[in-house]
Amino acid sequence: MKKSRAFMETCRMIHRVSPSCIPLTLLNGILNAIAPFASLLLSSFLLDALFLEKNEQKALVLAGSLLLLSFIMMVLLAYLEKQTTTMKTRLQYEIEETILKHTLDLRYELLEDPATLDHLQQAREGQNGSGGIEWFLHYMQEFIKSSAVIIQSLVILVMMLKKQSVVGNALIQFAHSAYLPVVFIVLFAVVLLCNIALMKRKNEELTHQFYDNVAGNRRFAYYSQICSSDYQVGKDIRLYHMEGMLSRRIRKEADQLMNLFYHYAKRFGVIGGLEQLVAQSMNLFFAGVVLVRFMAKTITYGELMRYSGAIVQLSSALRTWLSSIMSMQLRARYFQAYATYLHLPAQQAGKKQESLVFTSLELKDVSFCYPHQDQPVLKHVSMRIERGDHLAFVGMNGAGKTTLIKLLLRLYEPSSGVILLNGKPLQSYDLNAYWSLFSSVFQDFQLFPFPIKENIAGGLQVDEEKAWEQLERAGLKKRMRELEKGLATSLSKEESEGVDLSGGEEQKLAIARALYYDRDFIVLDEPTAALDPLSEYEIYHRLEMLAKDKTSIMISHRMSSCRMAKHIYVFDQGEIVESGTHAELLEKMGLYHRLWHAQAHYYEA
Amino acid sequence: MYSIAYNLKAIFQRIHTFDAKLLVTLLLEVVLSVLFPLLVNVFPAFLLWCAAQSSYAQAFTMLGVYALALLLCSYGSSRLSEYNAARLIGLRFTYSLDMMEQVLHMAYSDLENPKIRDEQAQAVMYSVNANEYGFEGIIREGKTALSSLCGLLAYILIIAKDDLLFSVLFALVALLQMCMYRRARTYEQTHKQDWIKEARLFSRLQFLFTKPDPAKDIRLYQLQDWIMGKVTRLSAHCIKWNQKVQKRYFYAQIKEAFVLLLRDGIAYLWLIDQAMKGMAMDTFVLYVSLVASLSTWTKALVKSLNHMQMDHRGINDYRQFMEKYQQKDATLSLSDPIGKIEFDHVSFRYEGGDWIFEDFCLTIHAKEKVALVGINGAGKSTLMKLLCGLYVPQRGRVLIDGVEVTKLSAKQRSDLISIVFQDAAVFALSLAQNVSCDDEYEEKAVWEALKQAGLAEAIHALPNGIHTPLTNLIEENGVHLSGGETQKLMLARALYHDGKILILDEPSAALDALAEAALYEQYAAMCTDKTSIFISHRLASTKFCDAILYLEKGKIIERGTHTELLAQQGRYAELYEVQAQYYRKEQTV
Repeated sequence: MKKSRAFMETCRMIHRVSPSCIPLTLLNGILNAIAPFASLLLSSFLLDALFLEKNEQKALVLAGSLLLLSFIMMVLLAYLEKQTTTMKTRLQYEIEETILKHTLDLRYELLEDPATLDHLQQAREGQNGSGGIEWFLHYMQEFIKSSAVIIQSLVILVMMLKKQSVVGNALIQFAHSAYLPVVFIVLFAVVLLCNIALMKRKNEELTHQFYDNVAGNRRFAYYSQICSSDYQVGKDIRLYHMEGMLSRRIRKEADQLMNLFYHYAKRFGVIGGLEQLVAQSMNLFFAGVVLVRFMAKTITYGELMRYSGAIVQLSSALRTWLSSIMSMQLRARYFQAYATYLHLPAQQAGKKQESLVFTSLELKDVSFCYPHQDQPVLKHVSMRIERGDHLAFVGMNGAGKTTLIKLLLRLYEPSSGVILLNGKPLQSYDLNAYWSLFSSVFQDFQLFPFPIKENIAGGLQVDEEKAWEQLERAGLKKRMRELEKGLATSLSKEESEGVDLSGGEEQKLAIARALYYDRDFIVLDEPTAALDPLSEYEIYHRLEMLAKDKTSIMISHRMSSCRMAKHIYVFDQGEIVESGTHAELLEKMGLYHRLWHAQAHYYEA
Repeated sequence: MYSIAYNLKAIFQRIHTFDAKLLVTLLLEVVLSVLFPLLVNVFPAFLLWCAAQSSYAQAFTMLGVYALALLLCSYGSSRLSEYNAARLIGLRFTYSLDMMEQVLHMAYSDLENPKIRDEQAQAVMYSVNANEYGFEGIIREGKTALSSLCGLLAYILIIAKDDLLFSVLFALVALLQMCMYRRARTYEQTHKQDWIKEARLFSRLQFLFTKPDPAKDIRLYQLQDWIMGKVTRLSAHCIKWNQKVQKRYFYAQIKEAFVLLLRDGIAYLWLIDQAMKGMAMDTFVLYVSLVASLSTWTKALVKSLNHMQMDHRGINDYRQFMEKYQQKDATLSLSDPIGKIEFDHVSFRYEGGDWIFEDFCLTIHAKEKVALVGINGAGKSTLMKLLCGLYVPQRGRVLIDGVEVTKLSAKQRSDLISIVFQDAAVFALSLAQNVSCDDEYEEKAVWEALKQAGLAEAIHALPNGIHTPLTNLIEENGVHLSGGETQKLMLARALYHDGKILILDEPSAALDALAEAALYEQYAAMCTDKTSIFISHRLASTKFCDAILYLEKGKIIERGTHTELLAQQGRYAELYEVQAQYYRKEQTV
């Protein structure tokens, strides 16, 4: 019953986001079904009034009501159409917003897990390939409409199948006998089963098509992304003359994709053709019965028109009914991926801001292993950080320094061991309150495509004076002064009126942000990697002054930055192998000494 | 730009080369799509006609003929529509691939320009990016338009047989309907600019925030509310505009309902009158169903024509882009390159920016090892981009061995210049292919390059060695290299290509002290027999260069060896001291 569960989930999600969506869709579907039926009914009466009763007055009245009804229906349907279309657009946006909001609140470790992004990717792919939620609702409407039409038609046809005693040949007798309803039911059942079988077949083929070339799809998506507007890799493509290779690859993938597509299109064509044949056969059988009855004069002109109309509607509605069920199920499957994504756990962060004061942070025998990996990145790390300490973490790439920072910042939980803040384990503190102790600049810091001042303040409320102050401290004041729109300039690299800052300038801006937030504990991970010597000096000098009354941890490959630290911890393969002040460590003649001299010997006179 | 007739003709020509059968099957589909509804619509009238036959046998024979026609039509319709739909997608793909080819060959400076990227996004949006629009759309809608037109004409002609005036009236009403619908569509088009930017920004933000990169900063700085605020504002804007457009359509439809009321009123009055005067019942029934379907045909025709207009605009955007950014083929090559670099009165600036270089001259002799230093924003990377032809100077020339770089063929340039920039480009290919930048590679040479770059050990440790797929964008078990390893990989790529000119732009920014030192050790070996340019903020590394160039404000203000420049006590010396002070023993900061 997985299909129906996915379906219910989708409906629930839609209802949660926009409660009037589904009722409107239902109404729209029903009205769409009733309108032609009502017209059909009226026109059949008109026919009888004109040719049977020869009553012009009555005919005119009927014609008038028919026209009025059509008009009202048209306006009503147009209005509903407007409502549902705007509703669907809103729904689409709101669902995307829900996803985004959830992403921002997700537990951090989930975001670095490729499985999480896979869910999202699947749902997005499904959306792009076969339409989003508006198509689900479209098919729901089709389903309601076709259900109503089927019911209407059956009601009409049942009246036709009334047994009537009549004189005539065997054919006429048969067309009026009591066996007719039985034949009708049997035929209807056969047609229904045939259609279901064909639909199931189509479903299987669709699934095959989807899974037949998952890898190829992925490759194609990747190559088209590179070949369109991803200019980051554009440099290397041109410099190393990769155009030919990529062009060959993408054409090969496209060919493969298309051939597969044609293959399945043919199969769908045959299935569709068979569906049509089945439907038309049923129509023709009924046409035969109606014809006989009319020729035997047991039904009137008007009734003939009604029945023939109903027959035609029944067969096409049946097909629409079945295909809309299948389409809804298909789309519900895609939404399953969304729903799964939305069920991923969010960070447990309260909104209450307990004001915390940092006194000490202690790591006791902390080890850590990334999920899905067997090699531990940190092994039995212990250290104590007191308020006002200035620490440096050094070591070679991959030694575990950044990972330790992530643990300290509670982005990950240690696999074993415990971290205590002011003597109590980190879990006993509210997450947001804990985070408000820290200001950080990571190696892969991010700035956002919004006004510079908002980037500094992390929100719409900006204390401009304070912002300028931090920019000066970070050494960016002059550059910012050059901008026409000043701090209101957007950082968007995509927007044409925005500004494109250099790597070094961005780093300074990230530092300005950290300074603006003015927290007790500063964490810096390679804060000057992209800066020139002058800027680097500026920053160190300033950071030193600014961090004086704060607690700080710095990770840097620039051994020179360690001189300012009170405690230096040297990491090697996940363990702390040496610790002490700069002078102490040099004396030990160990790893630190080697690292130091690797850089320092160039500067010796 | 191009007329709709021109575009259609061009598409038909392409269809002919793409799949000659397609033109025939498309036409057949149109014919069937007129025939099929016609058959269905005349069904009641047909039944009446059958019933009017003298015997059951005759009636059923006629029904039989009708049945056959109907069955053939419906089966054929289904087969044809699937065949055509699939091949139209294939057709669209060919245009899509052409666009990708174009972007691949576009000038880098154009690719980097956000305005041009906007143009490109605009060019593909309504031409190749979706089933319903552009090249595919215009043919699909063309089919519908043609069948609607045929249907409409057929019906009007049938009516005209009996009453010319009536049919003329009908035709006029159809035209009126078309005009009204058109106005609503135009509104949507002209006001598109009002919300298209917001819609694009919304989807860009969606993409940006569902990646892991910004996650740390968002949580630590509690940026959730700020970001959601922005996103909500954008979507509210788009929703509002959608409402406006829908309202317009609604008003248009009300007007249309009035027109229909009028038309059908007149029709019914006339028909009832005729019936009382003795019109046959089957004729009456036929006319009634024709009147009803006339609306359907007209609406379909109008919708298709309007859609085709929009597709046509999208196609023109595409053509405009393709023609504007045509790359001229550069074909020159050097027979025996030595790697002499010359900047000859080069002036360069970014679009809309100030001059970064004005009348800049510089000569670097073959096999010279040069270090380029200067503070951030001095233009060092820009200079290198000019050197390898990624940028084209507005004035002056950049010459290698006396030949303008931009005139050299792409292959010659890539054979000649090996460069590592600051931002790494790792492709979802195998490691070896990432090094060779090609499907083929020489294994020995790959290992050699990895060794020189200091990555060999790490790669030996991988189970698949150099065949390991990188990134998990295609292969699920693809490997993600660390920052330092990636930088070494970029270096290996440059070394593999062994160009006469080697350029390293901040190659050790992400390396630890030991790896950095190892790199400098290797540097001399890497540069044997080459002209090399080394950009770095680590002034220590510049010691082993033949010449150090200090770039400031678009000019080389100092040039000399390390010792010479220190003696000069100029900007270089100042920069050096600032860095060195931390490493001196007696330092008290």
